[in-house]
Amino acid sequence: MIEIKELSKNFAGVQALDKINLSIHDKSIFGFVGPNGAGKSTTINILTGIVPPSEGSVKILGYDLKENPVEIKRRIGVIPERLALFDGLTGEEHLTFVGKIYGLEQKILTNRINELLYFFELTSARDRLIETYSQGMRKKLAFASAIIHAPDILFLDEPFENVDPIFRKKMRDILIRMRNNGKTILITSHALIELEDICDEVAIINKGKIVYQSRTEDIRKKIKDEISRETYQSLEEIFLDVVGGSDEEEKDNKLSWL
Amino acid sequence: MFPLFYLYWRIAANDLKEKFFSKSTFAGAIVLIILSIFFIAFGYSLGYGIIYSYYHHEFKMGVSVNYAVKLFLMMSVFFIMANALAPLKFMKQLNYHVLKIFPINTAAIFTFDLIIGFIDLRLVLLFEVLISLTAGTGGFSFSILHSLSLLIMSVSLIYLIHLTTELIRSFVKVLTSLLTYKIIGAIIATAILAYFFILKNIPLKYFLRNNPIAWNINSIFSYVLFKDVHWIYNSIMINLVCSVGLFAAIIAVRMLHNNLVSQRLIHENQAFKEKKKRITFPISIFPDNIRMYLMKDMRYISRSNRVLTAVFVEIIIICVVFYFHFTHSRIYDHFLVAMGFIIIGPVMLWDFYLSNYWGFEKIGFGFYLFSPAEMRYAILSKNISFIFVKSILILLMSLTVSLLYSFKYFMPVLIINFILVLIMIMFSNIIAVRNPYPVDLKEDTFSQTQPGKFSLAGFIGLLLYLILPCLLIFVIYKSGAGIIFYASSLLILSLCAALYFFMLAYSSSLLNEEKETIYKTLIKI
Repeated sequence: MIEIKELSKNFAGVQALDKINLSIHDKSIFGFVGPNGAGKSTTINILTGIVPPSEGSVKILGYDLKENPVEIKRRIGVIPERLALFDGLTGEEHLTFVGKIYGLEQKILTNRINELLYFFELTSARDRLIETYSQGMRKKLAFASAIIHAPDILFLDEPFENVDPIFRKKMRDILIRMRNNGKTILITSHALIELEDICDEVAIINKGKIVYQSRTEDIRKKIKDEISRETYQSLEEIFLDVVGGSDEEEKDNKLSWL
Repeated sequence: MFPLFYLYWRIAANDLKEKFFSKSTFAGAIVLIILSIFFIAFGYSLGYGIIYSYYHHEFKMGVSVNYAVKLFLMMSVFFIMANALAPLKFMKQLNYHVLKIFPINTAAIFTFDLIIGFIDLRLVLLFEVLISLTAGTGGFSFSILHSLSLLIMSVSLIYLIHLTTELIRSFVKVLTSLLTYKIIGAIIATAILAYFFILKNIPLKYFLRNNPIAWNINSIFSYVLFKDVHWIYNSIMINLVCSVGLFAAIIAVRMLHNNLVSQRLIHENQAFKEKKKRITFPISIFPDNIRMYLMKDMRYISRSNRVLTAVFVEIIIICVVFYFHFTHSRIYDHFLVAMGFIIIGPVMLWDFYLSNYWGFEKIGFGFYLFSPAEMRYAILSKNISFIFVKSILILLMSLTVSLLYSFKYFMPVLIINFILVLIMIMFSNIIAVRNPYPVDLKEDTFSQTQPGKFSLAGFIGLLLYLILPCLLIFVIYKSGAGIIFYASSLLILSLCAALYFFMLAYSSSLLNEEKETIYKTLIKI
């Protein structure tokens, strides 16, 4: 369970988050969407302890983030936006280091590393420095690092970026399996179709505020407005309606040379 | 090429806009002003000194004017070295691989780089020195035309030095790119050296005296001492002709690197993706909570070119101690000279690694922010990995000194070195937190791009680093390597060890406070 109350973040005069309130239930996949610069990554960065909040409180797994950050960090897994991989290590060395930090015993760690490298098709690259990895391989390794210690909560910032369809499917399968096994997952992404497919609940953030929140099964049932009785067809429609600009028509008249 | 100048101008303008009001810029400006005043005064006094001692033989006190010329030659060599070893580029944001995307031809990019490289910070400092030289000689100039000629000569000399160092760097880049070129380079270099120094028996000073830079310096003295201006004009012509030749040579070498070596490297990378050999270290003797950090840090330290450079140069220092011992026995055959090398050399070499060891982890540093990593152990591990590498060198150095002088010096050298290591790491633990900057593993000390920063902790550390061993060497000098030395050195060693743990606690709390800032700097937010 993640409970966020009145969470705000101010970066040198810019209000990145403005009194956000959110509850994310156990055993669920929660999608967090919004346009670029809306505050998605800032929220994840605060929840994972990367950035301290300006105001508000966060409770994760019953622990207060300010009072028990280390206990929370032991029990979560993270794929941050910038992946946080040690470029100077090989893929295998990186996983070993991460596993050891989370306190895994050597025997279990070796088995898990072998399985993860095999599953993500990184076995042939296990002895190569991470700096030689492609973007997709880095994403796979970051995902492997985030799940190696079987975290109770997984935070994923833009996990579907730069990945091929095969890995995307694998990732989805793992996330669903984890959810079914009682884990909680929070994902930020622009891949609305993916989110609609796997998430139990979604929230849309715009300009630092939550502007929409619903269970995904209710999305198609949601009535757009009382007068037209028109219904939404997808999360994308809701997204464009809620955060889409009002000057789209004017913008269409631009770029006349194209 | 015009868009490149515009691009450079915008980057420089944005950079200046951001930094103009910062403390470091202000401090840098003050330092530059003080340096200017110092160099101009220095130049004047030196100019007067030379002319005065030349015309008043009774003040020469047995020292010939030739020594002053040698001094200037040494100064110029020093600045060429500094120029080659610390290339801090203004235009580091202009990455060649980014520029290649645009429809600009390669030769234009290289030409632009050579032209704009002229306003490199190091060249500006060199310019200060030459202006001071001009100021010194300016006191004896006979007309405005002569003064202007001196100034033009100074500027053309700076550009000549800039191009010379760029050519050396470009050559080194080609030679170090592929093993075949390394071997060819080593054979050619050995053949040239053997030809001049062994077959032809030409002394080194011949080369020091007969090169364009030496001619420039000599022409200034000719002007001052003999009022002979035609050498100034000759020097300007020599500089211009050499610059054109060097310019063409650099473009040719860079094109070669771009067309031949880079292509081949890319091909090899994609074809083989070289596997890193696993090196095992005896880390199992350390406690569990530090072992995982140590595993990572030992790999980083063994893969960093900065470390490899430092190790390599330390071995050269050992060779120099040997060389001086056997070739200059009258002056250099003294234990204290060897100790001087041992103390001063390593602190300069390792500073490039120790002052910014978090920089190697770059984006990986973000892991410490969301994981339960303990920063105290992370620092301790970095220190242990450094001590591990340094211990081998310390042992080698102690054995060398013992073999050359006496085995009674083995333990003293060992103890003094460990005191030095403790001082080095306890202060660099703080400096490294204050001085984060992303560092490439392949970046060696000679081509490091890390901007220099003044640090009070570093200054205090350097003072302790120099004072404490000097005290101990003084004890050896006065009373030998006996009981007094051992008692005082063990006392200092214990004090340093106690201070180390205190400083470790302080630096880990500092690191915890600064984690977010370091992360932002390392990922260049």
